[in-house]
Amino acid sequence: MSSIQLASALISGVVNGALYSLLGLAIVLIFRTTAVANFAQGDIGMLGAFVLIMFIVPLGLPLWGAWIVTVCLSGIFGGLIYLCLLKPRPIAGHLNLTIRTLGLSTLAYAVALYVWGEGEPYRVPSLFPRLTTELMGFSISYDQIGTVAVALVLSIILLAFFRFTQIGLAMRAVAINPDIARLQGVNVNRIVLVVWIVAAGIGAAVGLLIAPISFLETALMRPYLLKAFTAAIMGGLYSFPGVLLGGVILGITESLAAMWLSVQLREAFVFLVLLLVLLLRPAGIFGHIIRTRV
Amino acid sequence: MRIPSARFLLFGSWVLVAFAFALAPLVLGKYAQYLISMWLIFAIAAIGLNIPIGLANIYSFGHGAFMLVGAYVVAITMTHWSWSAFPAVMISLVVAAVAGGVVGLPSLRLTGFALAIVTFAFGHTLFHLVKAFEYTGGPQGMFMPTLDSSKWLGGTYYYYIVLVIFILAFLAAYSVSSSKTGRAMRTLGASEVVAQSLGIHLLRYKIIAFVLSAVYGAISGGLLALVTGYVAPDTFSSELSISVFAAVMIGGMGTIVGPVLGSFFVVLIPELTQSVRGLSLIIYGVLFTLVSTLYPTGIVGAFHALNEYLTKARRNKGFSLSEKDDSSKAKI
Repeated sequence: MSSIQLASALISGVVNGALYSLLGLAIVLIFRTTAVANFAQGDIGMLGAFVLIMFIVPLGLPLWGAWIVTVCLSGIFGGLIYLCLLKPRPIAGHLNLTIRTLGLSTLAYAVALYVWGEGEPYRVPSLFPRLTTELMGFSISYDQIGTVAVALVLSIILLAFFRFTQIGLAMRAVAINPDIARLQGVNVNRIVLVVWIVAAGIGAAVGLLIAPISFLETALMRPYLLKAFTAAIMGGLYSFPGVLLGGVILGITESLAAMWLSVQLREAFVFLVLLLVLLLRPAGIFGHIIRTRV
Repeated sequence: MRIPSARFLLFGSWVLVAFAFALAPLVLGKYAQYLISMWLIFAIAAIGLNIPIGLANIYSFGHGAFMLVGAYVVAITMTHWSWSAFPAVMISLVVAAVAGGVVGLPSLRLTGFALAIVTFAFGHTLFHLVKAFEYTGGPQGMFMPTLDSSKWLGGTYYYYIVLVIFILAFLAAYSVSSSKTGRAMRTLGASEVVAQSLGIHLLRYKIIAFVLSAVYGAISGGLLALVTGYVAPDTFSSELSISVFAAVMIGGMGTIVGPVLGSFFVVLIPELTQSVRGLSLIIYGVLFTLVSTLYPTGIVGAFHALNEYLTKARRNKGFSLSEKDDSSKAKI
């Protein structure tokens, strides 16, 4: 095998890994603050990509402006999801709330299939020029560089947001213990609302990054969602750096497996890696086992 | 005249329902029989999934994988090894039980959500594996050999087989849920720490829950292969796991009747709305979302709530003394 093949596998692994990481970050964000595993995270991104090409692009904005508008709209949608779907009857328990997002994901997929399913797949314009460049002798497309750069910048902004802003501090407090955070004067409902807005915004950004690489179809995010969950679990579910690392490891493993084994066996291999990580570190790479009391 | 007890009435009505199903082929056409078979097959899977979810509070998102194991083992043994149906189904149960045990093994080390994703990934992996290999028919799947038995009893043989197996599976699930095993699972579902301090072996009961659900899944998958006559990987994608899960949830988890009712919706809605493309999925999605948001305890829970409300209204009308009773109940 040539080193060029290896390099291109590594590059596409890192690109996919960056997408898994970013989507996983949104999942971890919601899971940490609300203990809900958001199964609708992927389909929010899919809806975002459809909104971009169906409604925003025809307005004639420059593409980066359309991007920002879509991400903002998706954020509003995320807020509405929280207010309509998750806020009512909160005593129902985390599992029930998780199932609600599963129902929402089914519904979002069904609606997208009904409305846009006839004409799929669609081509989505990319933010980046469709060219390749040479980097240390290997060719990389601007799409790939741009995807990794956007993912990296967004991750850094988010991590800085949690670390240095007051609302980020409140989010971490809610993540550790909502009841105690409430006693400390944190408006938990508002924080969770912000979390949903941010997570849905990230979801749309991921959808907009993925859609130009592969064609846009209603099942666009299905494979990415499972990988993002896997990345989140590998990272320990509570750790932001953990999920970022987990995503990249997963992306690289997957593209190496596709090269060495076969494309079909790739999925099985990813599962093996997940099991191996969980066998060695049941609480994830950066996680620690949380002991509960009765 | 002696008034028969509620228990006796309930039992009698179950027997009547069973008789109605047994006599149905005399009245109903082929298509309706096929729908009922599908419903009951799906319900067997859902009853099985209810054991880990409803009793032990373990989230298994990979139930489709066990159905896949059942269907593919039956298909492989019958087409490649030319076994007859009965030993094929039996061996599929053994394979599924082993698979269930293996999936159950990490259940002690992982938290609920991580385990849910592991089971989901397990189903996803099996789906890709059977798609990848020629031996399992690849993406097209495999056709079952034509069976003489499908013509027995005027073509209703498999309807009765499904019905009998469904009744047995229903009774078995009932006895499991009211047995020592079922109580142990409920306890560990409520609190693992309490269960452990009461001397309940956590790993053993978690694995039992997975093995039982796997066996139910395999029965359902094997029957699906026999009744439809072919197995294709796309039948057993992760959507199947989610729809069985939805059936349990819409019906009401933790009850025995719930999964059966839920399966009715999940099987029937796509059939009734076939003419409009994509509409069935929307109705299913709306129902799924609404029930999970408004009635976390499912259809059965909604009936219970309605029943309680009516009794309360009747009692309040009769005497106001009982009001104190009700308010104390509400707190609990």
